[in-house]
Amino acid sequence: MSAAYLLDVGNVSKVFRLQKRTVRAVHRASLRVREGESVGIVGESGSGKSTLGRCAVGLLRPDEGAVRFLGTDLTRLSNKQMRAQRRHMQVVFQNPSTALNQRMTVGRNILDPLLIHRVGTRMQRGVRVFELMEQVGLSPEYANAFPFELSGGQQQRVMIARALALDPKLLLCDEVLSALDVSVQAQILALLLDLRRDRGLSMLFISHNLPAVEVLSDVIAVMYLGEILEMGRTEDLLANPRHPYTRVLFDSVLDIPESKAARKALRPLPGEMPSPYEIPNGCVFHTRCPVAQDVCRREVPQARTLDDDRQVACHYV
Amino acid sequence: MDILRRFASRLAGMLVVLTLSIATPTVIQFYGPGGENSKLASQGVSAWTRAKTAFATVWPEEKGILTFHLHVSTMSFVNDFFSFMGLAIGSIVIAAIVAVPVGTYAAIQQKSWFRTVLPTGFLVSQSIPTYVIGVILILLFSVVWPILPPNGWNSPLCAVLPTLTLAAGNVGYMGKFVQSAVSETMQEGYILGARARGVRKWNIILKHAMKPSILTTITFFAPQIAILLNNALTIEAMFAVPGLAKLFGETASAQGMGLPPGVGMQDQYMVSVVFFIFALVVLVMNLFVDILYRVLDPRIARLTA
Amino acid sequence: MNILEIRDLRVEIDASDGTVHAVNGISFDVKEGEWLGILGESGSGKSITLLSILGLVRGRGRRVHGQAAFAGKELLSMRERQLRGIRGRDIGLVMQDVANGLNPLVPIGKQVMEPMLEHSICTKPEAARRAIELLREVGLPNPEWQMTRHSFELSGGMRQRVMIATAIACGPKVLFADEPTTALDATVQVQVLSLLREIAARRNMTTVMVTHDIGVAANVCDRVVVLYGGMIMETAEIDEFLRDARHPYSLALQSSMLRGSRETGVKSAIRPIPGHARTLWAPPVGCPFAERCLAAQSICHRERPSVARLSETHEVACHFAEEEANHVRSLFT
Repeated sequence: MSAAYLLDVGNVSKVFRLQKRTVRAVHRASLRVREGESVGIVGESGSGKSTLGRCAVGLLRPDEGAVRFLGTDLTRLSNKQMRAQRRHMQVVFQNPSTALNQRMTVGRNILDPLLIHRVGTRMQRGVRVFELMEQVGLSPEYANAFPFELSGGQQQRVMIARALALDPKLLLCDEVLSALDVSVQAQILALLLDLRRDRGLSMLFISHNLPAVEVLSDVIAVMYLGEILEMGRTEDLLANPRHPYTRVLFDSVLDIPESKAARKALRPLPGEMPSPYEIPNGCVFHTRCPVAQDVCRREVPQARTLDDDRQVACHYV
Repeated sequence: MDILRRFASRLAGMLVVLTLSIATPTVIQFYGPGGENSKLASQGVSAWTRAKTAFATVWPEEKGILTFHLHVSTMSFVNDFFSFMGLAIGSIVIAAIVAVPVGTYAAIQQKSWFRTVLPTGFLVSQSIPTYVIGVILILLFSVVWPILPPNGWNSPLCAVLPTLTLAAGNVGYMGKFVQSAVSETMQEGYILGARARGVRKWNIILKHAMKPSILTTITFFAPQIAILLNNALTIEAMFAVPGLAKLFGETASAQGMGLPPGVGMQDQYMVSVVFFIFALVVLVMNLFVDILYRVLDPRIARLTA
Repeated sequence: MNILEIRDLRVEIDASDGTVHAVNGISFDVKEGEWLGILGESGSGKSITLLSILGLVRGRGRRVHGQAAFAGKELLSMRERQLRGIRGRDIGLVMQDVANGLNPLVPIGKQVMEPMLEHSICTKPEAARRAIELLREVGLPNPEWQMTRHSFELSGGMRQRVMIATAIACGPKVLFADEPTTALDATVQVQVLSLLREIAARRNMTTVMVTHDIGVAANVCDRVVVLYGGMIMETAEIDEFLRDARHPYSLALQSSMLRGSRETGVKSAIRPIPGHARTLWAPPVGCPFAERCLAAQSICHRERPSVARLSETHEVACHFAEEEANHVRSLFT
């Protein structure tokens, strides 16, 4: 059964230790990515979405749980075996200006993974670089430019080209839009959509930009304090959010009203996300939950699978 | 509780360094060219026995490590030590008193000539070697306009020239750093915020910009203390201040002169002692800086508590 | 009644390789009691507009021309000392920089008290008492205790609340808010926005908010000014803007605002406008948006468009504002 999944993250936990204090970054999170599918992970800062993403592509070793990529458990691989796997899983980070080597030309940056994994002949690699640049919408004249001569959006395109160089099966996009201007965000998002359509690329799309996740993902996982509270197919999740937090989170996206009179009242969720040093007992969301009862304060709700891949961790669903 | 444990582990670390500081020079002298080792080797003593002898020099049976220190503390060198420290600390204080306001002023000053003249001054002060500054000061204040004694250590006035010389070199270094630290701090968002709240210019500098700038300056200068102490040695020699330089020089050269074994052994201790003192001073100064840091920066206190 | 009148504001900033023409002659009014939004992407000159009105863009290599009258007093030609008396007392500023907008080494209580003391509004104990009230007003739990805390101990949302408290401490008539929610998480964004709206209403404050987020502007502003390349593209009442935005840049901003599948049911095709805002090393010759505009004609590159008045409150700086509005709109949606 699990062979149908490209990536199968099962019950992964990750704890960081900072000066004897422990931060529970991810707690028993499970998610699956099918071939060609895009899974979005949403949550506010501190929800553990980046840590989960990094565990999923083997950049971090989880403390517990298994990460199966095409049937191999990444958590059991040696560093060398991991390196071989890595060409199938590439990452695009938030900040292209630090993730790109600023002393290398754009072309050389894109060429780099091909050199590292010794792909093709010199000639083939050169051709490939220009192919990639075309795919991400970069004019070939930029090959000899340095990253700092490019705008933020163009640099992000270089990052994507570099990530695609090895023809990965899975692309992890970690907040790739956050550093960009609105109109440029739309450009990059359109590019990612095209890549999905044309290459059947599977994606883990981590973002706090909810509309972007809605547009790009087939499945959305909602995280809060290191736990996945709800997960489901995008249309289904949006049409019928089950977990109170999912409802609040998606309500906080401001719609554009038709007119001033049609504005909806702003209904902020009171309180703050508790510190990851002090995880509340019971359900992690109970401190802010509008419908929390005694049982929520006492018992941790188990994630239950409902119909259609829907998974919810709430006592009252 | 946690602070105590942290302090204890810090002390333990210091003890290790200090022990090494006693052992290292002795072992180096023992094994170095012309040292005891080569003599014993030529007499056919085995390497193992030689190593044991070396250890015995560091840790002589008849004078345990404790007596060694008691011995040290009663020696004349206590005076030398205090004159040395007075010189070093005095020069830091004077340099800071000049460098902090001048550097700050250079950072906030808008007039273009000011922005050129002060940094150039800092550069000059940095690039002239300390001993040249010393010579110039002696010429000015002891020869051309003889108001200060050029050398010696018999009146408080004697301390003025060496301290000033040492300070003069540091002023440029520190001033330049303060200037860049303040300019950087003035770019921070909270400075803009304070301006937007209508805070007076000088209050922005004193209440908002000074503390972070001083913190970065301290961070930068704490590891430089050893270098500063080295400079102090040169200056002591130049102004004939009876300090650690004199002591160090005398004992080290007595070693080289191949004096009889009894005397040599005694001086070997002295070299170790001076070494030890140096290590101790650097450690204590660093500890002091760390404590200062904790006091000035609430983040350190809060995050490590 | 206009509380602020900006006329032909121009800002030039010297950089290492030339002069940046950040603001190129903008004029607008702010009516008393209204909530004005200044919309645009980074580099459009929106933040620098606010800062230059407050005289925070002064000094070497920075030139501000034009007039900015606040309640009849001309700010831009005012001496620093007088202007300081207005900053924080008559006009408050809330900044975007949640991470670094408060001094990490100064307790937040002191920073809230600071404007009251600097403007000699009250004595120190009174300022402390008022600071506690202000922290309570912006929704900090247990304000007495919070007074001695430092910004690094607070979450982003709490820091922004404290910054709002410092901005309103002296009871300003006008509040400038520079991307006040951009750096915050979605749920916190709603919290802060509703807090700002509540405070502005209760204190009868005029608010000028800079934002790149049409969603934010559409939900709180009465009127918007759309900036691009340091020039005003369109000014409109919010209803006019939502219903009948004319400028291609306004339309482009609206269409690049992502909307999820919730309303439409299908994933709407994204039609981003090409290119990105460039740094202006010289004042634009024609329309600054021409190089990215899908409807641009040759005249757009040559001549600055004059301002077309579509109604009492709706002005558009586009050569084709009055004609073919539907044609332009079809290019973007």
